[in-house]
Amino acid sequence: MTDVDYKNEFKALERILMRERAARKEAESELEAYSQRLYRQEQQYKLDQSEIDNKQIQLEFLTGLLAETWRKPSLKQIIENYLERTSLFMVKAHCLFIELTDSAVIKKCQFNSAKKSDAETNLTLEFKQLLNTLERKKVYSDLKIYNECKMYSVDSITKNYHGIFSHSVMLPLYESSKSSYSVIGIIALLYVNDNDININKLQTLESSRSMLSVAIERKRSEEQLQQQLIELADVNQALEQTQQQLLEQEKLASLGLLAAGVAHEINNPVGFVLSNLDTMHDYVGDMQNTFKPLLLDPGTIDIESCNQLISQCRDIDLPFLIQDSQEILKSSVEGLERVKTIVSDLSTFSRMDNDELEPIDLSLVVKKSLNMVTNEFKYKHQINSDLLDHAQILGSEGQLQQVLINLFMNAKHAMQNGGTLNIHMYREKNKILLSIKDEGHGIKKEHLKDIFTPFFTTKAPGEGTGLGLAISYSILQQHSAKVKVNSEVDKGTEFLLTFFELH
Amino acid sequence: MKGTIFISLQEFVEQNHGYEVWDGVIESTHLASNGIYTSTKNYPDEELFALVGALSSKLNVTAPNLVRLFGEFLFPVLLPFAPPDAKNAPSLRAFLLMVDEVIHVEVKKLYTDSNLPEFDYDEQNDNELIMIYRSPRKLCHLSEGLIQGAAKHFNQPIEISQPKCMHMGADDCHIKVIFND
Repeated sequence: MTDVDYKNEFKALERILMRERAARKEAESELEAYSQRLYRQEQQYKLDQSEIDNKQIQLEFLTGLLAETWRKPSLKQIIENYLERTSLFMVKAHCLFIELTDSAVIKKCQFNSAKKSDAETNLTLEFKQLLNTLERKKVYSDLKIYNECKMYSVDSITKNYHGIFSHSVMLPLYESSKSSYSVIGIIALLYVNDNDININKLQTLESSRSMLSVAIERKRSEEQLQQQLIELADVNQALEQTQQQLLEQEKLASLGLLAAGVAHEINNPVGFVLSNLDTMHDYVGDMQNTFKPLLLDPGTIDIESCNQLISQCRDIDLPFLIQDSQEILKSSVEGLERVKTIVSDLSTFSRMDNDELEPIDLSLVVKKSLNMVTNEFKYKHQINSDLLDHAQILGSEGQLQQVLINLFMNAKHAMQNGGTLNIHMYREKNKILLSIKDEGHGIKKEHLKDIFTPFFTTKAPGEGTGLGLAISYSILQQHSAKVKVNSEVDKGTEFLLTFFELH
Repeated sequence: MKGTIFISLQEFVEQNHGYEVWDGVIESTHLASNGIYTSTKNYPDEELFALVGALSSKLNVTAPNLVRLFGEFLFPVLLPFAPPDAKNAPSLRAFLLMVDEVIHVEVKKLYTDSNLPEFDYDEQNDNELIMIYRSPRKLCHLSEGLIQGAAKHFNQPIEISQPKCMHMGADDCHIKVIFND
């Protein structure tokens, strides 16, 4: 290589070196810019991270609130929980709940009393001072108009206040109207220093408000519903009492209906027994007069007095007296037996409160019931009854008697101009069927579906309660008996009752 | 074009032809960068084309051949930056199939401003692969060289041809790789 070659190579290397240096500087400044970018990104990242942390805390506040609010059993506890969570979340604010009326009265006041320390006690005094100096009307009307979070300097909403708080944020939770006044439920956040007010957190609090309002609204309607339920139960009880009274009345009404007939039924035998006894009194008098000498001194009886006695016996027709006396006594006993039967039937009827089902003979019940109403059918009506000798069923005698008397009396009322009541009892497999059929005016087709409905009656007002068949139906249902009604207008009505036979 | 390509080209020229050749083309081409390159910066494509043109006439080699040789040189320089899946590819064929879907995707993540060619594959035969190259830079010969470098890395003898090429007026380049086993 020549000097020139060396010189050229040296120059080339020098230029390459210069370019390398320039490249290095460029790379270094590039690196510097990169480092700065990295630093700024890191700062931004930290900022973002703290923002995320904040959001996380806000989210926790909202979700925690959401989860717990719905679980709280009462309005008071919902608010207590809200206060507690809000104080934890708004670290630097003191929280207070008040219910303010339109006439500037504080109805309720709650604050978080979880931690009771000396500082807390002082805080209570601070709260009191603020509430005492609060311009309540202004706060009430402000919140009513805006219905959203509102920030105040404490001076602007108080008069002569000298406490520690400088700012307040008022959060209206609900509004409700009672008959005489309206109220707003308010959460008041109180700040000692306005630097402590965190707008982001307030926004979160504001968004929790609607959820809480819904929860409070729901809880309130729940409580109202509960109240209504209690009232309903009261009404129901009153209704049950009324129903019981109506049942008693119906019983009394049917008793009253029967009273006249039964009185007649008793009067009749009592009348002839009395007249019999009167005759007997005469008979006994005659006999006493006749046989008196025999009682005075048995030693003085001679032939003459014997003849006189015989003649007197002939005079009073002694054989007839003795025969007639026997008949009189027999008929009196029969008459009194009849009275006894009626009184005894009447007493089973009046004992019908006992609704326990026991084995009874349905035939006997029909007979007893017929005994009670015989008088009613005596003049214009006839009764044809064809019963089974024994028809054992499970039932309550008194109650079934009530049903039967009701059906019999209905039949009579349907046959105003007379007719025959046909009672037929027969067996079908393991069932006892009882048909009670009249020849009356029948039931109109459109009324058929209503006849068992309480208070339904076609009788004139004051004549029927409309409860007879309704009660009968419910009694028959208790007996698991089926009721079928066949009726034809102007021909008559048949009530067909089906009972299970007891073996 | 990334600075790293220019720096590699400088090394390729210096190692094979000496400092003076490189210095000579830098001095004669009057580039905007003055031949000062840092790896991560972007430089105009025209600079590369000007350098290749100047080198080709100075060294008396056709531009396609020069670029092919440079590609072969470039492969081991770029390989360390490839994602692990590609580096651990079981065969040359597997590696080539990852170029578009794996390697270029990763490069794009790191350098959002990079302009990479797109590849489609025609794999009709087992012993050959057609890589369909599309890029406005028309650097199909660089791809050929890179494939050749990869073949060396995987120890896989191949033959490369281009039945279709944008330099011959086609819409895209078909780089046909035949695997000689």
